[in-house]
Amino acid sequence: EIFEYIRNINDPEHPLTLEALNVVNVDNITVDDANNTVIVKFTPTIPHCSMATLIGLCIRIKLLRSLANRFKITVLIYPGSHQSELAINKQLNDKERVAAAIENNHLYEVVNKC
Amino acid sequence: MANNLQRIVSLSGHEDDRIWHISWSHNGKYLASCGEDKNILIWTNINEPGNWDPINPSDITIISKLNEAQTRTIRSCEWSSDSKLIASASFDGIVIIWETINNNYNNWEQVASLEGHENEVKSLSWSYDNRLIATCGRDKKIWIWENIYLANQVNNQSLSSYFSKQQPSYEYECVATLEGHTQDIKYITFHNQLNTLLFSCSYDDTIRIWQEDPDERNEWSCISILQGHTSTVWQLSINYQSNLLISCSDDKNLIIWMNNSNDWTDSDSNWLIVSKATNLHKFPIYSIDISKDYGYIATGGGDNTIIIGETK
Repeated sequence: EIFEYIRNINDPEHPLTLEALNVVNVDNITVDDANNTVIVKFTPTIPHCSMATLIGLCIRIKLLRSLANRFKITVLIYPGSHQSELAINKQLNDKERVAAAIENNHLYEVVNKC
Repeated sequence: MANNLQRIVSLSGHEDDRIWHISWSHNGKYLASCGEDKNILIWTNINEPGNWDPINPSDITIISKLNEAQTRTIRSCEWSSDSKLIASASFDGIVIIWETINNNYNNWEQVASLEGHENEVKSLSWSYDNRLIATCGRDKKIWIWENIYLANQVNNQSLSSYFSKQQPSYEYECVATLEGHTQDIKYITFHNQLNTLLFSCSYDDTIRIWQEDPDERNEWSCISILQGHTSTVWQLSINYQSNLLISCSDDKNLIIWMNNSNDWTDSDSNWLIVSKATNLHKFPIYSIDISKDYGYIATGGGDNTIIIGETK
């Protein structure tokens, strides 16, 4: 079900959805309904993809808007698929950084186009 | 207190928007809350300011809304020690100072605006004498602002009474910017009694302690870097009487640090980890505070839980 929310997000660089590019895959989503956790691992198209953080943010925002408040969402780079995996994971899961990014008008527009 | 905590009241005022910070006034009578709605709300018990456990919980209500001052989320707000001023820090990069008009807490006006941060400001702290305000944020720097009127008072203590007749004013100037952290600074606090010691913690996983040079006004340097956390350090709390500093982190741990000397300004002294609490929260620990009077420690985590511990 989570996959339904994110499969159609458009990649900011290519005119294709994240599903079509295999950036997101239903197998890489873990949901623990009882503990209110959702973990999504996504695979950037190339290991040094500069849009990786933005894609992760789009996924996160889409889920924040679609899921009940009770869920704790974790968005991670699929292990080994990006050279800045740790740094990107840290940013994507810092709730203060994410909140500020969402509020940032310029980023907001870019994200909404996805 | 033991194992029995009861909720007194839930306060709603920020609609559905996130509340990022709350702050009690030093006189215990008012509570300020701020957040995503870009407002600061002032709460009190309208019948008996200072009584937070009234027979009728709806006595606790909003008496003022400080708004239309900042253009983005207000991340933090703090009272001056005389409970007359509030400074607010926002993602819009600006820090605003509000003052109660004629000691009427229903009425506030903006008296200063501190501009300089290159992006989001996340935390601020007043020195105990209100002469300085330290601010920090994503630009990795700590900015120190000085109230010019109070600075002149300190400088001209022995001069003629002409100077002492100046009207108190709220002009601030940036007297120092402290660099050293390599990432976003999440929280900052002055020592409760010394306006020459500052503590900061950061996305770079460290805590830094800064001191003003005793011989050179406004010259600050980093005297200590505390490393031990493996991820962002969200907050810290100090208890100088017990010689303790406790920090909480994204790594889900609490670390208790102790200085090996009682003089924290001694740059030869060392901070040692005396304890690490690893099983308290299963999510990042965002907040920690020590209650000096009662020997309690409180932590708040991403697991929606607040844990209260007793220091022995």
